[in-house]
Amino acid sequence: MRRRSFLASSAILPAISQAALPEDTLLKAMRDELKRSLKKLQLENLEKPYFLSYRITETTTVSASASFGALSSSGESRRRLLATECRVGNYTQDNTNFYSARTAFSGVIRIQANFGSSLSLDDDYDEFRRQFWLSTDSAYKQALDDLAKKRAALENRTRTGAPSADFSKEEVVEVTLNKPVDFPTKAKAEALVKQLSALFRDSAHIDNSGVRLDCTNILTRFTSSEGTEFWRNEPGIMLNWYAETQATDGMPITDVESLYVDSMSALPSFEELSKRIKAFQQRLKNLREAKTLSRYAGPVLFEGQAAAELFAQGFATALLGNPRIVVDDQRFEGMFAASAGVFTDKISTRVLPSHMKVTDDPTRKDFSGSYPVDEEGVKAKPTIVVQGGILKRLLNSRALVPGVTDSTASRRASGVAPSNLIVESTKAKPLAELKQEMLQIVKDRGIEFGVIVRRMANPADQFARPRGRTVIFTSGAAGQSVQLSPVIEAFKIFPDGREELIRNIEISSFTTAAFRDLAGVSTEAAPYTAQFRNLRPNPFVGGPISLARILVTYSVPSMLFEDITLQQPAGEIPKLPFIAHPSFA
Amino acid sequence: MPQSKPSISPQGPILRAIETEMERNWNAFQKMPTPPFYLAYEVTEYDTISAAGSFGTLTDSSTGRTRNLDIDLRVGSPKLDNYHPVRGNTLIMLDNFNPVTIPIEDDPAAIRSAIWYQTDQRYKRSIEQWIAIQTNVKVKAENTDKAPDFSSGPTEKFIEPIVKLSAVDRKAWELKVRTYTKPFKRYGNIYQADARISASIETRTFVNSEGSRIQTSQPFYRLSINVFAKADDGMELPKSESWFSTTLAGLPSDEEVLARVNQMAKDLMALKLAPVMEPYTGPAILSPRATGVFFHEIFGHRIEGQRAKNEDDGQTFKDKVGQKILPEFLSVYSDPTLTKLGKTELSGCYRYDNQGIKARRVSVVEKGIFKNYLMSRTPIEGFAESNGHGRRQAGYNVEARQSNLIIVASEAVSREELKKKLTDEVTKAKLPYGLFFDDVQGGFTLPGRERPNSFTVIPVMTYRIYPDGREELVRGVDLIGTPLTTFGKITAAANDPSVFNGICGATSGGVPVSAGGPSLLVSQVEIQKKPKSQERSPILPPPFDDPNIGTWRELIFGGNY
Repeated sequence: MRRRSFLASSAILPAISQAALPEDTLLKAMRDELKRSLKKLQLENLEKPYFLSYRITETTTVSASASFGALSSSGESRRRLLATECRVGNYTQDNTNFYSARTAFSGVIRIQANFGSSLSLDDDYDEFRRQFWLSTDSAYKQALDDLAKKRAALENRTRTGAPSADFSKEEVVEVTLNKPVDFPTKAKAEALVKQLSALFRDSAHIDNSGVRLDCTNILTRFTSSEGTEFWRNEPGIMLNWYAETQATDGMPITDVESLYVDSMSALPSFEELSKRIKAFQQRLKNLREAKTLSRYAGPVLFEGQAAAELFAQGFATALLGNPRIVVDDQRFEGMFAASAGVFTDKISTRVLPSHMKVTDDPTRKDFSGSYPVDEEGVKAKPTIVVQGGILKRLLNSRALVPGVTDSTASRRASGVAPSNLIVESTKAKPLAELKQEMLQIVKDRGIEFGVIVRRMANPADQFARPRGRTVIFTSGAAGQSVQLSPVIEAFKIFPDGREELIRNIEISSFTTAAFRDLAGVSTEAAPYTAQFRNLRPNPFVGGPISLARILVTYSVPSMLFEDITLQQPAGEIPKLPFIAHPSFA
Repeated sequence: MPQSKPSISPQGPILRAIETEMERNWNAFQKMPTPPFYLAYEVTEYDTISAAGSFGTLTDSSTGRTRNLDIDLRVGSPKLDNYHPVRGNTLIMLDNFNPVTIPIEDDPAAIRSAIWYQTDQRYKRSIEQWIAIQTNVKVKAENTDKAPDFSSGPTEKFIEPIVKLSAVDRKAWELKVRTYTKPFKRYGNIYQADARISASIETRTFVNSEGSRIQTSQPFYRLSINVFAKADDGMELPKSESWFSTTLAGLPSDEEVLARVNQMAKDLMALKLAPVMEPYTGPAILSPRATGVFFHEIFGHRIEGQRAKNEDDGQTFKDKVGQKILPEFLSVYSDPTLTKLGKTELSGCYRYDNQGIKARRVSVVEKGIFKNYLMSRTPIEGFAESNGHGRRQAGYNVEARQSNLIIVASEAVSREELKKKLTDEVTKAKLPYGLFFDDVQGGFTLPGRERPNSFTVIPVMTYRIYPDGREELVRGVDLIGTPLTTFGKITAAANDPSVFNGICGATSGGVPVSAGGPSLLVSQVEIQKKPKSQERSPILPPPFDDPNIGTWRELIFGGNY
């Protein structure tokens, strides 16, 4: 990696070095059309672009899925997607962070540059240039139109609150990351999912199941008018299995387990995978026969995966900073104010107990959420977001949030997202002690039992299974509460230490503020990797989109809450199948 | 290109797996308090190879195999069942569209597992629908059409060997899509130039509780080229060509395609310079292709049987059976058994429809008199049975749809004579010109009652025909009107029948269709201005044509760059 110092001036000269990055036709076409556009693109006497970038994501995929030992689908594909970003105005105020309620998309071929367009799979210099030319033209005209409308909208308004620039100035870098690709052939991928899914052929208690392997290599080429360039080749493999069943009273029970690695050699052996699937099947079998819990309010200990999921869904999403959006029609402003983020006005306030610290660290190469530069070409760096329980700053892209002047290098596929989140405490205790503390609360309150949650569903995994039986759950995000995925596995724990499995539970009326009053955390914090899904997305923020998976590794301790409300899902319960499964009739 | 010789495999085990699960579920359902009176499974498999190109480069090359399961499960009785329209229900698409994929391998245990799971879901949903419908028919006004919900059908047995996709040379196809789109590269003002070539084997396996067992397997080969340019005023100018065949050898030669490609580019350049038409009313000639689109959109959708039962539909031809709806010299039939018209293969042909009813020719209009609707197994008053037009895209509910819709003229003149008739009418009406709609992009119609019952046909190549016979290309018009008025103004036909193939989209999904007929003279049409893009042409010239930067060769190889 070669670094170049940033020219601290608004007149940033394009300084493209071709030394560090691999040479190819596509990159050359990107540089050439970028240069031509910067030199010549200007509509009459209107402003020229002050920033221009091309980002091309080239995805190569091998995938296969199977159910009950037979192939359901398989395929290989290759695709190149171009995203062009054009900014007019200046870093302080440009065409972005603006939403026009009155305008349709612009462009010669009626696409908005932000939605990307498919590029040729052949390395044809002329064709690449032609597509960059049209895409840049569309993006530039849209940018001019938006900037004029934004200025008009601001003309008669006085903006309140801390000012923030529309676009941060960042160090110019050149980065090359070339992770080797170790993918199976399509035939091998098919064989693996067939063999793994055949393990469900003797699970009489499971109604519907499947296994999916998805190997996707993403090669991103990026060049910008500031001189930043990167070439990032990142292979990723997802293997997951899902199953559906119904408890004896008809309540649907579903679960999905996903593994994320970057090469086939990093996948566990077939024997190990078989063991995991067998354990997964056994868990569902146990859940079918478990008792329900109609309602519970009291201490709850979230252990391992459940603690990480709760933190991901209930806390990490609040750490995302969205810029203030100018809307040309003030009737729509409420929409954007609602998605500004829970923690927007909580900087310097306590959001966790004072012994806790949270760091977002994309430089942790041992974790799956690492990267050398983010999607905007900002060099990765650790960011302390919470120190001594106090919220220090939010994660943001180059679209700045009030009070900051730089990006935290958090622009990932489809918007701002964490990388690896590391939660630490100076007062952590062994898990066994936490459990004893919970039992003490149980005794002090004179209640029958406490609850340990060991597994929660992941919101992105919910899409891993095909459409099947409706899963009923009701925890709405009423008011300030967070809509959390259902609890998969929980146990009542009695004062004598006895545990009893319970099923079909939701966490009710949970707010991010609950973390502030955490009763304790464990010393144990096994890393957990999952797809990140922003539960409060702002669809109009963040520049060009990408459909890549966002993986985040969480190092989160088990967490004890004094007061959590759990309840059974409301709604109608479907009847059991009228006829027995054909293989188990 | 290698010659097509699809290999044939014997009947797969999938039919046996479906039959076994049908029998098991059917027998078990009979012990339920509300047993179904009809159950059908249809598995639709597509084996596909395709390649796509743009401006001389490859944009996609893929193979795929999918298998969809459709379940028709009816509870109640043929007179009133769970498919009866629920009036006042606005989200009917939730029940009309239910895509289900099943394993693509012939593994009986896996296929039966998927069928069992989906049947259970469908049965539960059918019971819910049935309970809601019984109340809905009591609380809403009585239906005008009192025909039952489901008609009887014969038991059919037909097993066709499954065709395997094997003869396509994918590399050769990748080269073809590059070759077909490369000529557009030299035009800096053509902004899209895509070609796609595909081969697809559609294998349908149908089993119902009445004993029908049907398996058909049919290859389809398609080539399409879509390009568009913009006029200087921002108007988008699209042009499309497509070919269809049931054999690989039936696709056109490279020479034929490239000749058409060159013509497309010439047409677009001519359109860029063509004057924009103002709204106009007067006589016009529809080319055979325009006649096909016109009749498909304006006539064909209004003879789909279930529309006569739908209280929200305009029901244009309800109560018009036996009455004159077209000029006496015109007849119309819909024939899914017809495989060719002249030298053109027809894409709307099939042996059995999606309800297991054998395809048959339906005489819709005889000498101007309306005789028959196109029927699925949803009866309407006066039409108690299906005539083999129950169709759907996998995942959708079946409805009566068009197949090959052919318009025949008993009195026809030559094309020159038809043009003469047009110029005579122009002169007689003291109009400056008439119109000739040569090529059309497509069209749409609004058959409901909520909005005006109108149609729009979207012409691509339209000519003014002056009294002296001179022709002038124009642009920027859409042909509009209302059906009954327009049909009454067809005055003559030419002896030049031709046909076009396409995919028709409607509430039962996209189905392949054909429509054809002769050129027609319409004494009065109305045109309106076409919607126009407000985007101006690109600011910079194309990169390979920018004199101040250097040619693209100089950019690549050095020079003054």
